[in-house]
Amino acid sequence: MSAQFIDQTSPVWTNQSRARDVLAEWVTNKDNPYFARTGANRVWAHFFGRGIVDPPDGFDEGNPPSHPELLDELAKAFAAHDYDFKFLIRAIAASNTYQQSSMQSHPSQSQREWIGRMPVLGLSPRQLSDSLIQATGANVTTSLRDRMLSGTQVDNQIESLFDNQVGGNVDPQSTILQALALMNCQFIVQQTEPGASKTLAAVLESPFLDTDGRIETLFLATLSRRPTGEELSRLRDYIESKSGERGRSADATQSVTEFFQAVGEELLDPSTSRQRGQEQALADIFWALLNSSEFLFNH
Amino acid sequence: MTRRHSPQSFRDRAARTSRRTLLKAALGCAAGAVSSGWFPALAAETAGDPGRKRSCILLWMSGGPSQIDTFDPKPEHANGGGVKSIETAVPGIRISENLPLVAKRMKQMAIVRSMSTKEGDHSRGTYLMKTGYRPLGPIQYPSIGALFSKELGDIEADLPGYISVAPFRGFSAAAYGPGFLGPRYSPLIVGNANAVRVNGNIASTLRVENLSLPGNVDTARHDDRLSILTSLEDEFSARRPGSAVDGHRTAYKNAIRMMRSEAAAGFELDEEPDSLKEKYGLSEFGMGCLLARRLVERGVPFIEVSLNSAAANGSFGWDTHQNNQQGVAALCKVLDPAWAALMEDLEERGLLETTTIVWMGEFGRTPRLNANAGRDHFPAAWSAVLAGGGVNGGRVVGSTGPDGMKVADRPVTEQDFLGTVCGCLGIDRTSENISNVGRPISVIAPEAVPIKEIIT
Repeated sequence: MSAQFIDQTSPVWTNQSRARDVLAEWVTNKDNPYFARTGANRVWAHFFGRGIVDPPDGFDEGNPPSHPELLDELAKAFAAHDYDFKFLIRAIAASNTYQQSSMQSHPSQSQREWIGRMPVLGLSPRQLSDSLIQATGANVTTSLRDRMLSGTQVDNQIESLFDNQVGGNVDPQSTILQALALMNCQFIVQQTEPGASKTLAAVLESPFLDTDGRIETLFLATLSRRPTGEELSRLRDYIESKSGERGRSADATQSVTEFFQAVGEELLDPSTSRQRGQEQALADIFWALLNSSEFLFNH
Repeated sequence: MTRRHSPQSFRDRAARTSRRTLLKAALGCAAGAVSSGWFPALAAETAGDPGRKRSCILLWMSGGPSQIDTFDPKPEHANGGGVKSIETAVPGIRISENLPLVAKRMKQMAIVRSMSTKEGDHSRGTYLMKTGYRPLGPIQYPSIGALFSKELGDIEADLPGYISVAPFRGFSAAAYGPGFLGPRYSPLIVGNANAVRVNGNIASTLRVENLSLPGNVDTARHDDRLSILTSLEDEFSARRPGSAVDGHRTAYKNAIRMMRSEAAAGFELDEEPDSLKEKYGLSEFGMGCLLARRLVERGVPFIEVSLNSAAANGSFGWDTHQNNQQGVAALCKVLDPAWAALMEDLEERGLLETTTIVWMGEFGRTPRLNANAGRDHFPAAWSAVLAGGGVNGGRVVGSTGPDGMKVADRPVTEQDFLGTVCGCLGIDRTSENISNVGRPISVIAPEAVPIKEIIT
């Protein structure tokens, strides 16, 4: 039986030909209708979580592309640039389609295959590990970072748990084990502990930050944005409720004795309950931010 | 033959029995106080309910077990390797001397001696037997654990429907995955094959990781955190309707429900008396089987327990390329008491009738011993076993010739066998799911021919 390509043609063998070279030539030949299309489609799927032909392995007549002209254009340009992946990635990343927001402004955008808005994508296990390390400021030297990424420090959990089976990253339905790990695993517990977390320690110990500044810093560290006014006021209230403050304005119902008692406690040991409560409340906020969809997804 | 289930679920009965308060909001703000003492009543009620859904326990033999040294002995032939056969509780059926306790349960077991499949590689064979399909093309077939638990289970139950005990996923991670059914049907993995023993205590490795709150966070503080999280989620998801955020929310809801449910006590093996543990055998597999019984009691529809190793076994699991006899004997010393105790224990609790036990690996092993006194991969003619609920026990289906090299009678494919499991479990094998390529795929391929005489 002689070797045949999938388009039923046979290679021309010479004495010098090695099978892999012959195959490589056929694969990347400009006349090959498959490689450019599947390659372009795969890169597209990587950026949008869904191929123009989806699943990307399912190229057949029963599974037509959602945007055939686009796929043709991408394939043509990819081939014309000698299958340069950087070129293709730049082109896709510079497109208006890729630069859309994930926020929905019109109901028609709910049809995912039309890509009327950027889909919310899962992070790869590695991206997630990196994001966690960056946000928490976990003490990272190059080698430690590598160890973390190989799973010993973030405790396998992050890397292997988030390695979801189902193809494209769209619809990253989390599993129960993933949720349990993000809520309770040792890494998260440590990093949301005021004494052990770098980010938290920095936020708590910076003398130039007031409560609002602390909340803002936690948002910037995790979500790369400032809290909205509403979020800020809600979280400020939360911290105040936990820090045992008597309120900023004078509380009319407060008895004079209670007032002096409170002042006295603070004078005796200003770092007692009030501060601990505040630290805990900020740790709670940090925990919630690290567990939020906005942090855990690419959007 | 298809058995119809009453629509009444474990959850309904749980509610009727104890009226527990469940999580109120999506991410839950308060779990009600859990009343103790509801469980025994519920367990008894579960066992007695004629409409009770069925459970499946898969005893998975990683590496591919030798049929000749277990269920298809050939003492008369050189290929038998000198292993003797023994009588079982059923006259005329003889199995290997390696399984004396299992032999006593033969009335409730059916042996298929004519398994004939086409994958002789660990990875592909594992995928084949655990999904029913060869790994081919873009379709991501779900593991039978995901498929069957979806058919049998209740998505709102406290515990996930597919629990995998100590799996070795190195051969094929996809064989343990939910495939196109999506992560909602992922297995809850308990322990893992590389678990380090803590002070020699095996039971303690069979836990759900991260199931408890850290010491410095009590439920009230966890609630505080969850309410902050809920408000963050609300804002984010309101502007991005769609399943990504919903999936996140569902997973957290289920995780929190499990953390706070009394069903989570199913994982507390220390509640069991030492005498019972010893009966199962103080091995990871033995404890896994005991755990499986506790989970069946709590309505979990699919539990798989992997037997990956035994002390004094030189090979990985059942992959006995060298010194086969010795390796198989060591593995059987773990398998035999655990399996027999599991059946007895389930029977005593009235649960065996509704629990189908499946014993198999990815393939069998060569009848001829190789130069290292080992047996190699052999998918052409091997054995698998069904026991317990829905199984017409005390019988052997199919046979191999005197040398064991070929199926002599009634070849059974992976699809035929898994279709038979569906029959025993009362699952409609024609029930369809939409695959990742948009095409509906039935639980078992339409061309499967289940073994009718095994299904009650």
